[in-house]
Amino acid sequence: MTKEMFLREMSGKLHQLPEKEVKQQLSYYEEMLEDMIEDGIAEEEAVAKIGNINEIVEEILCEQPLPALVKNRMRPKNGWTVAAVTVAILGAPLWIPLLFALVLTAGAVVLAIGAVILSLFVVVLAFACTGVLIMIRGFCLFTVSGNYAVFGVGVGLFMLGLTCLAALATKYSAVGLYRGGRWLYRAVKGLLVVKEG
Amino acid sequence: MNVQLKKGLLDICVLAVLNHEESYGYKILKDLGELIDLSESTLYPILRRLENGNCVTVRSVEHEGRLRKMYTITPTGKAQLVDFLADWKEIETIYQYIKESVNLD
Repeated sequence: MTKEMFLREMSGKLHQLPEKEVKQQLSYYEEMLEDMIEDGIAEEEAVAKIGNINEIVEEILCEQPLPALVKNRMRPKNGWTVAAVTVAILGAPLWIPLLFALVLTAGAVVLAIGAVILSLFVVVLAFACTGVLIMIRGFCLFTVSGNYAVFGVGVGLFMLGLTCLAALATKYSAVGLYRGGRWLYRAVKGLLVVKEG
Repeated sequence: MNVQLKKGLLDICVLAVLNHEESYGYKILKDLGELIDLSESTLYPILRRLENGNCVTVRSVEHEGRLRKMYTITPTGKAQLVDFLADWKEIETIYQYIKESVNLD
């Protein structure tokens, strides 16, 4: 395969990306091939060395941000023809509520994960506040009763110990939840990448 | 080398090459060829990422009647190299721990 053929095929397979992005990708591979040829590698060999176009294209598509993929997936293959516009308008009662539901679901998932993380932090904060307050109260009671005071300080310290444990648990749960959320996002994104060839 | 392990090292390797001198795609690959296996299609996302993270700057230079993109390391990129060396101490400790656990078997 010649350099021109490689670049043309690649450009065709990247059609779902914005024009600017395609240009940048192509100019990188063009420069790379020209440098290889200048270095004495035969054109066919240079193209072969770059690797399988389908694999490269899939890699490029996976690197794209989610909104760009959705936008390009929604775009009809032959541009916005009259027929495509008509179908889009007639189908509006169906796809607008569906899209709305999809966006709301995604928002709800993000909110739910955020809320769980926030509530965990609030629990830790509550433990810490209780511990400190009970300790202060214990100190205040020193003049009234030594036993009460020591008991108060002890309970306070116990609460602070619990705070440390809860903080640790919260930290790991928060990281876990965040990772889980990110995994879910990637999985959804993977569905939008068109596999070719 | 393990893919996950290599992934983290590649960015640093590219920065290290650029720390010697300003360079371009094909030359970076050639310079790293002996050291680590890096393909043409893996290098581009790395350069993109480094550029977006302000670790390198890019300028187009004319060469033999065509344009060639030259990459230069920035102070942020240099700082990443220093950070990596600092991280190495931690990695060595982990290495020792793993080694001991293997020797126990």
